[in-house]
Amino acid sequence: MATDQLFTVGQEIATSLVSCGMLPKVWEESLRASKAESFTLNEYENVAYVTFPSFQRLEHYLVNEGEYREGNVQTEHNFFSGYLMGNDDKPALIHQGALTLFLDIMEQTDFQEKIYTDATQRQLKPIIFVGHSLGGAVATLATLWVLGKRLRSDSPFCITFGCPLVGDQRLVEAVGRENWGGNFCHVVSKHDIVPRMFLAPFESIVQPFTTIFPYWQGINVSDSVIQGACRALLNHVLDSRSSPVLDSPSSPYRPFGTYMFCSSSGAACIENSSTILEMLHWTLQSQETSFDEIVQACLLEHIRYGFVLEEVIQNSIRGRRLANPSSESSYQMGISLELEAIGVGAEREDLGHALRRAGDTEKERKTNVHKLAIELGQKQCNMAELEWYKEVCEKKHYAAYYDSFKNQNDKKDIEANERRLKLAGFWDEIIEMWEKHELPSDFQSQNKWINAGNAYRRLVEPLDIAYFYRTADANKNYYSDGRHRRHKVLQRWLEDKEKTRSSRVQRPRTKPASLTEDTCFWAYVEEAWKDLENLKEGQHQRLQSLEQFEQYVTNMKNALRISSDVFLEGSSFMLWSESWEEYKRDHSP
Amino acid sequence: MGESVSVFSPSLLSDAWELSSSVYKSQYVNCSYVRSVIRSNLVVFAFRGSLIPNSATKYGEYQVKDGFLDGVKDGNNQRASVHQGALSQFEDIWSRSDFQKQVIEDHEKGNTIVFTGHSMGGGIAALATLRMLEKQRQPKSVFCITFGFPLIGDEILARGVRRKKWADQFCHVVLRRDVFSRILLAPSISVSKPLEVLLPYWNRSMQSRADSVGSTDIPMAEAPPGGIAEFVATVVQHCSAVSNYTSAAKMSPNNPLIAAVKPLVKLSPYRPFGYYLFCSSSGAILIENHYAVLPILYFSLQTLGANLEDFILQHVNYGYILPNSLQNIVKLSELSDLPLSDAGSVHQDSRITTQLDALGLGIQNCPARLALRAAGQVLKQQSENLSILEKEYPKKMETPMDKLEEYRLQCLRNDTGYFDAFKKKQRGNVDFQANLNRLELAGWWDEIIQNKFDKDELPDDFQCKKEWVTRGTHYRLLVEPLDIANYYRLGKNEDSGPYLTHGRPRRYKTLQKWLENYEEPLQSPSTKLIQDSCLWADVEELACSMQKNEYKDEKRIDLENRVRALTDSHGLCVEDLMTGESTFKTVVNWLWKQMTPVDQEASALRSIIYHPQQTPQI
Repeated sequence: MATDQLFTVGQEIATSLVSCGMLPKVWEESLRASKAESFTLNEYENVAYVTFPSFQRLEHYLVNEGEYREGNVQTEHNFFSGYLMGNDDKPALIHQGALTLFLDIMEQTDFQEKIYTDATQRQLKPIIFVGHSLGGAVATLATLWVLGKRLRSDSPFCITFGCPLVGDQRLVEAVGRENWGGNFCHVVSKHDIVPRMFLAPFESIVQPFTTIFPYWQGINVSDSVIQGACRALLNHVLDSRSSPVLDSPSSPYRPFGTYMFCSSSGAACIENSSTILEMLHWTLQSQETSFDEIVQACLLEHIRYGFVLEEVIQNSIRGRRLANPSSESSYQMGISLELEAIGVGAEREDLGHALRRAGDTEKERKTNVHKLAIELGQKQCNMAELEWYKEVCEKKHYAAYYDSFKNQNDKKDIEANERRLKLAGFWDEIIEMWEKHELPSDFQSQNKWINAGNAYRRLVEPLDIAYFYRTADANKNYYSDGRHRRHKVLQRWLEDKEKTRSSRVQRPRTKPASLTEDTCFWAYVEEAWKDLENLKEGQHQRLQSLEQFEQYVTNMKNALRISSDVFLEGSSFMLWSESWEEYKRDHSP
Repeated sequence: MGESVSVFSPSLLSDAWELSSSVYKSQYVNCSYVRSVIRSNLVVFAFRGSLIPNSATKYGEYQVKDGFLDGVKDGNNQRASVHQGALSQFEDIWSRSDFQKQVIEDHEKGNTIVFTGHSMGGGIAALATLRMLEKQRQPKSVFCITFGFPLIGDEILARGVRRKKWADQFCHVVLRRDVFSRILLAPSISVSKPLEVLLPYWNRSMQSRADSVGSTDIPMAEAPPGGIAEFVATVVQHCSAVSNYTSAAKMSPNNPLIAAVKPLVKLSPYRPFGYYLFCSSSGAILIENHYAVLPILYFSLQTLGANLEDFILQHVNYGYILPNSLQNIVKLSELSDLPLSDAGSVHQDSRITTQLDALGLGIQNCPARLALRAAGQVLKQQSENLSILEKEYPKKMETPMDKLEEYRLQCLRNDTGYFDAFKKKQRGNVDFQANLNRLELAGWWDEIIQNKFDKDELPDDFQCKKEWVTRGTHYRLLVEPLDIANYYRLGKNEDSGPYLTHGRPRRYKTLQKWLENYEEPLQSPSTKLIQDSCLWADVEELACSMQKNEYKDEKRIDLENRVRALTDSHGLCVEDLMTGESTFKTVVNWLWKQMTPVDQEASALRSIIYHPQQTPQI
């Protein structure tokens, strides 16, 4: 909607989630379960709450191996296999302690069983995973697991309070790709040290954190000792940003999902990972608050989320007044209010830019996808023209459009080539935009684009194959040397989506498919020709692959998954088939 | 204000208040309504009601049953929900024959009827109005004025009221700090305890004031009960939740967090409908933009700088405050450029500035100003989108429609129906051009329906606009047969299933619903088309059965029913069905052979087979 451009909504969302009583209720649940041994499952007003305990053992926070205590998900176990991957196809890094706690729950409790039961019995009723402190990190992993398993038609929701950072940039990318960002709400109080802690080098936080930790567990520690430790911890966290030490690499941890920043002036939600990272740093300090007060607050706020939320509610009941509003721009005022709500002050223009940048990116992505949608409509005409081309070839010339195109004997073939190129340009552009993150993160899983891409591939890839074999070296193979990336990517999108679709029972066909389902079929035919030639020249090892191809065709043909044009008299396939039968006859014992 | 709304004059509003407060008199304790003829042709009914605690649902909502608000349903045929307590009180009164008889008699005599009420009495008045609106005559003759009205209807009702253009027949007068008018935004349980004390208190106050009217004794004002701070905070908090949530959802409809949270939070279902008059002691502001009402209900109730007792007292103080505020009514129509700063306020009508300040919506309340601007922007965008469509229509849609009309005629001249010509695609370029026209139109309507209409980016009454219903219907009747032909030509039924259950594009379903909900007759188009765009889908499914030689009575009866309905309503175009070697003809001939003579005798297909234009086939 065009109003996206003019207004911000971060505060409205945050305020409504607190005012409606959901977050206070969730915090209550989390407190109740904080001392439990393992997870707790409660149902209240048709919502299931799965809660994880807060402070278990110090060594889970500070795992003493690896530079940033990150475990590599992929090599450890298979709970997340295949989907928590970065855009470089490498597995995301995950905090080792949280991972260990999660694995314990998965392997040593009835957690899995209960979640599976819940998914079948309460299919349409919502479930929330909840955790405070490191419990929040465990809740996050549990949510990622349920999301990845696609156990429920309604996706689970995750709420954390004062949760430390869980994973790296690859995790951010994986979550963005799946469009799961909206399923995570991380509530972070302005001064709470824990959500920022892992931004500092590990060695620097071990000592102070070890001193502070017992205090949160309710153990009496002398005030002065605590104060000193807090001071040190705070300094290291602030330093990690303001003076990057060149020889120690900065922390790999990155925030993902939606962050709700709370302060005594209000609350606002932010979704963009790099903006959140900025805010995690800047909200921690402010001019009005002295360093000593921050030292005090960074310890206390971690365990006082009930109070933090109550302040947000009281703010919304009282209302806020601006002494001297100065802008007439809705967007600018919205940003100023948001900055004020999260407690960094409306005058921080640099941070206003960061918020605006996040908004602009989203807006741009929406504009892009809207433009592409209109263009897709226009490209339907090119598709229709090629469909028509296929029919003319079959009905008037009794030839498969593949062969007609490969021969390029006629004006209509030349025109078809122009259309092929136009469509290729369109899809190449889409894929390029997708890879440059210029499209919404859920683009590749939207049915509309998956179906359009699939329709394109089925109709036009045979022409790309024909073009390849018409022009390429005789020894090149389309599948390994010539297949364009757009076809590979579009095919992967379809396959990814199929995994998420509840298995649809494929009804047996009664008529041949109008377009061959396997878009590389003609490439196999071309290769079979080459194999047959080679075989005739005495390369007997080709026999096996020819027999395999023959078997494949028989199977596909019986399942009616090959279009009838393949079997037109005189088609490349039929010629091959005759030649192959001849060979078999000649060589039958 | 529109012409018809001039009934909401300050003098009528005062009269309505007088009558609404008079029902509290001890002498009327056994009556639930009072009738008064204010002037010739104008009859006012005032109701007394009470907030009946209800624990069946979280907010006391109840989905209405057949016979009430039948014309108010959403796109999925869901019925509206209203507050059950209000509904049961209204039905009590309505079912008493003397009341119903009186109202209908007054109405039939040509009187204008105004229903009014204070507090829950306003809720009953609103329901009475809705009941009578379903049968009102033109020009508008039924109106509603409420005081301290708690929202009692859900989103479906609110949309229905706007779609049917009833909004200007409701005027809800609400005092800035009247907490009761927001009370149903909070869960019943969260306020039930304090209400046990407050409801009787409000009732006593109203009664003692009503009884003292005309007497010289000024009643001793009873102080409001204590311990109200928490109660007020609870109501404001839930007001904030609903207002913030709806604002966010409206400004960022695709926000993933909002989508994920939706099933988790059960907010109050009640949404405003009708016009609102927000009053303070210095004046009043009339709000027509429904998107602005919730934000005002919330922001004007915020407690900063307020005296807590006001929140309770104002519910019963309309009598004191209205005389002043009705003197000074301003209308706030364009909200999208409401000033945000002093510099901007310079250009604003100072009376509006004063009234906004008096409601706590001055420029210092920046979040409130932004929410109002957003509300204005949504409506503005909707009407801009509409005018773009109006401008584009002749350019983009008329040509392909004309070409497809011509295609159909050309096919008939060549002795085929256009369905079969298109499906078989044997004659070349003409059919191909028709396909391009079909695709062009599909793209356009998909854009309108999926990207605009479904996302609330067009005015609420778009689907009731005669020219658009006509255009959509014409498009559907002419072009959907081609979509069906294409579907079966490409064997998509093999991939996905029958067209009707698995392949019918949403645009056609939506357009058909628009027509079904449209109440007036449409202008008949110049050419006569088959008035059931799905007939061909049944025919194609039968053709598939024919190929497999699987005759089934039920399928035949389905087709007969469709044909019969069309014959009865003169919606059949035999030419399209029977010209040349049509699929329809083949299928019907096959069916005919499978039927018993008794079936044949009763069959709706008989009249087509023996149609005068056709030579008998059998």
